[in-house]
Amino acid sequence: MKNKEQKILQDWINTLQGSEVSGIDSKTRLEARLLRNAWIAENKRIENEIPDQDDVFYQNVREAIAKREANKPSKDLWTTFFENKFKAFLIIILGTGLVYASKKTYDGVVSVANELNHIILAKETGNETINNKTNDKGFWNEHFDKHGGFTGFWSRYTPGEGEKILPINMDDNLCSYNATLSLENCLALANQYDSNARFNLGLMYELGVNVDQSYVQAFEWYKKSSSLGNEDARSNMEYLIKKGLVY
Amino acid sequence: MTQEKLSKLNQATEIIQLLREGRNDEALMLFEKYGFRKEFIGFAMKRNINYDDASDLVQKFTIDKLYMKSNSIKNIEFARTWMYRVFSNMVNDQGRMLKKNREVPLDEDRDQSQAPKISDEISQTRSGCVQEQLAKFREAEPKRAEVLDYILLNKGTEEIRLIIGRSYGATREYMSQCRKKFRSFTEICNEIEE
Repeated sequence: MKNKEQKILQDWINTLQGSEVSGIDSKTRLEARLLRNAWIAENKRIENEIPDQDDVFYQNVREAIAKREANKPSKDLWTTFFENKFKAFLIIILGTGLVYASKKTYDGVVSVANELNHIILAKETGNETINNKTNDKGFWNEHFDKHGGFTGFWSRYTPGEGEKILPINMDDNLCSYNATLSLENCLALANQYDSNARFNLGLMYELGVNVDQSYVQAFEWYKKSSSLGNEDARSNMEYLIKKGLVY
Repeated sequence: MTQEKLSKLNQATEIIQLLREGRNDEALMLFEKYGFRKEFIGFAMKRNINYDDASDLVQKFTIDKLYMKSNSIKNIEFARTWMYRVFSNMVNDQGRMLKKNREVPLDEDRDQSQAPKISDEISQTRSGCVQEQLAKFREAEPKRAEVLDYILLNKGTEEIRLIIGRSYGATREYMSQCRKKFRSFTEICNEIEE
């Protein structure tokens, strides 16, 4: 039944479109032909109303297009950049990777320099707790586990056992790293805005020399020393942050 | 697909391609040469839009849609289908606007149809009667009349489906409904002898 209806419909369509269809019932054929003739007559009537040439039409269109082109903002760098989404995505990923890798390289160099500085200073004071291992594990070790699995850019380094670094200040005064180093002496000098005394207080708290070890206190004293222009204090502050000892 | 159908599809694609390349003048020349201006104006006039409004509408279509959106057409091989779909929407909008703006007719005008009048002499014949009924059908069932136009413009079911945005089966069903609906309009013509 459905097929028969579909056949009638198709025959009707074909006759409407001017094809000769065999096997079509006469009523459907007549219907289709009358409609086609009416449509053709309608077309003729309408075509007679439409001029063959209309220069005003194209003049208007050209003027409007010229106006649009004049007002069209020239493609800026970003529009051009984002036109191809795939390219933009690739460039962003590569760019980010490059920036990250550069930062890691820079951080590595700086951190090695800091480590060396600390080691040299510590050796001069004869401190035994020095460990010359660097805490910078490098890009691959930091972001991929030992099985080669990606651990993500967000993984943060935490120092392992025996990786503590001991930066030492060499000031030869009451608050120096020797037997006379005491909290009272250092506090007295620190309150007089002595940046080295403040640095040493930070150091004492960081290492737990004559005081209870506190990274937060150490960080605070480094910050105060750094505010007086002490570069070592600033680098130790960064060191504490980088090691994840303070947040 | 017939040669004529294929060339029409290619003509639309060619125009869009030229617009994309910024060769606007050449595109407009082809638009005229391939008869798109007359075709679209005629398409709009069949929906009871007068020549001036239809011409304005086609101008608007050429500038706002064809020129401005030529780069955003995804499948350029379906350019002609896209052109019809967009233009049909514009015509529908215009029709709705005209209907809205049309003043409430006075009592004596209330029964007067907006459809163009066929002369009395012609309407005495059966084909004349069908012409008259076609005009009435357009007014009463503009969407179905549009599908009739597409069929008569030699468009296949697939192309019509893309223009009206229905599934293949739904389009066939709609075409069948158009036929039946139009038949109900022409029943009165069956009494007239040719």
